[in-house]
Amino acid sequence: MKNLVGTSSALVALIFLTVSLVSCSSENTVNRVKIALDWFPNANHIGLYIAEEKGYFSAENLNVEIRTPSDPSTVLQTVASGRDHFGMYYQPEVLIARGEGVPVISVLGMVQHPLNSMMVLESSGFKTPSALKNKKVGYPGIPWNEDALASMLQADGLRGLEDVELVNVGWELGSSLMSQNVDAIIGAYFTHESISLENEGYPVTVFRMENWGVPDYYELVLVTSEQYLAENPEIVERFVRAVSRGYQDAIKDPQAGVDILKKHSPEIDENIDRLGAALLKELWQDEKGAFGKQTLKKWKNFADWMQDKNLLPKSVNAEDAFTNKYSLKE
Amino acid sequence: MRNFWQLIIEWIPAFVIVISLIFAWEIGVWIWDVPDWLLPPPSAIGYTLYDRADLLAGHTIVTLEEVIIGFLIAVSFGFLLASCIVLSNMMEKALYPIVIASQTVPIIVIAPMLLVWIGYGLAPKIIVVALISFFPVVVNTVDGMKSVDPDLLRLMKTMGASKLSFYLKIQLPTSMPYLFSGLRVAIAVSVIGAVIGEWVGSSQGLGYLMIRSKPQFQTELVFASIAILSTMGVVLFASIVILERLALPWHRGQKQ
Repeated sequence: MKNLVGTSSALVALIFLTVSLVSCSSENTVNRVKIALDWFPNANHIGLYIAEEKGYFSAENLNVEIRTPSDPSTVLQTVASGRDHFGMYYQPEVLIARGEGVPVISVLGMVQHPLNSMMVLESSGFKTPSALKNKKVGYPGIPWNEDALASMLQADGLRGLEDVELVNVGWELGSSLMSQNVDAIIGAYFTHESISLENEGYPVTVFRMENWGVPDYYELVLVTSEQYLAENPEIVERFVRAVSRGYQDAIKDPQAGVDILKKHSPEIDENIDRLGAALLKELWQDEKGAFGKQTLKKWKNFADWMQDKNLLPKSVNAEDAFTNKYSLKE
Repeated sequence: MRNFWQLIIEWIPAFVIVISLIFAWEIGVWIWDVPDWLLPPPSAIGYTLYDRADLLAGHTIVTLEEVIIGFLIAVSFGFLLASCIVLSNMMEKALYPIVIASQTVPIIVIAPMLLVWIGYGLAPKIIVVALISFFPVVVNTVDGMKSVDPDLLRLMKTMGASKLSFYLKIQLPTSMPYLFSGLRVAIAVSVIGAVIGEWVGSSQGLGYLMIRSKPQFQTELVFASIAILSTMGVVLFASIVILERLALPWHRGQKQ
């Protein structure tokens, strides 16, 4: 008797399996898509988690895997080589990558302005970048950050890097400022590090790059490889649509987005990300309140500035580095 | 002279394997048309070594300096610690567990903190090198000193020898070959230690050059630095072996 139950249930299972296999191969194929984040999950990523949680991805027949890279500096390489289909990354690096022949392209402007900024302790009393004359500035060792610092100093009347002492502090930006090993840092986000410093009892003054001589740029863009885009334009379109819906919800209610983020990544520090999301709400929208749009002017101005500083070969054409074709029309 | 040729013949198999691997790599990159930013061919790495020699030399000297200073500190400190452990039971009980525990501390976490504690410069890198390489020195030396025949100890005690003279006359010479095998391991990990130290924040050194070139997609420069680091490791290792042969000629005779 027992045996019979076993056999029949096995038979039922087999039938189910066959049916499901057949239905899978019919037209509604679910595509698997991998996206690499620029960093650990934080307020910048809540649109992705909203899209996952509210089923915007599955509505587009996408099975999305959101991946935190073990080494964030490799995101553009894994995207270009096809290991990841999409990545969230920084506009300046997309241009540098293209200059080295790495075929990545931006399909969505996610954060409309630089988040990377200069910070000094409020207690230092420094009110403008020129106060840093003959002081130590910590930076994460990223070459173009040196030129950004130089532009900021020049915009405030100093000669440039020769007027400060530059220290590569790796990713110990916050702690090097708190311990006063350096007098200022550049390379930290005013939607993250400045908040965590304040929470630690070290309020900071933020100098935003675009206010001090550095051209405005997109801190975060959504990238894919030229090859993936050419071969799967309709997947890119569906993915971008779902991501955009997620971020539109995030703009309407950032705090609800943080709740969802918290559910997916319980290790986040809410005390940082709640305030960060509140600031990001404005930064996710362009002047017309739209999410995701990119302008040639912004891409070109930044590429010109980089070429001017010899950070980028003249051969790089800003026009080819991005497309607005897939962002939402309204 | 015969020895020299023997040595050459011994090295031929390894040499052949390395050369064929380099060829396979070059041809593979060429056949599959792998872009430089993903995996540069050995020829491109070789060209970078030549073309950027000045840049690479400057950073190599810094890293070498960190390795050698850190290694020397590790050797002297490690040897001293091993002697304390062997000479006194109490010291052994007090220190040995700490020495072992020190190796369970993940260096990669401590390294960035050292920067914040000590500041930016050579010091935190040298400390990382020393931390990572003193352990093989201590453990091997202690093992060596303890490998002395216990009958010999009893004999010397009966003849009225002090603990110190037993240490100087018997334990110290016996431990030498062990010390040298510890040094060989230590020098190899020293190079890694220096790179870890530079990785987390520095303005000079091959580790710095690599972490700076990587986000710039200058993969050739990363591989060129790796090639220099490997060569540095092998040369330093070989120097220890030569030093051992010169310092302990009797030991080599025994082995053969």
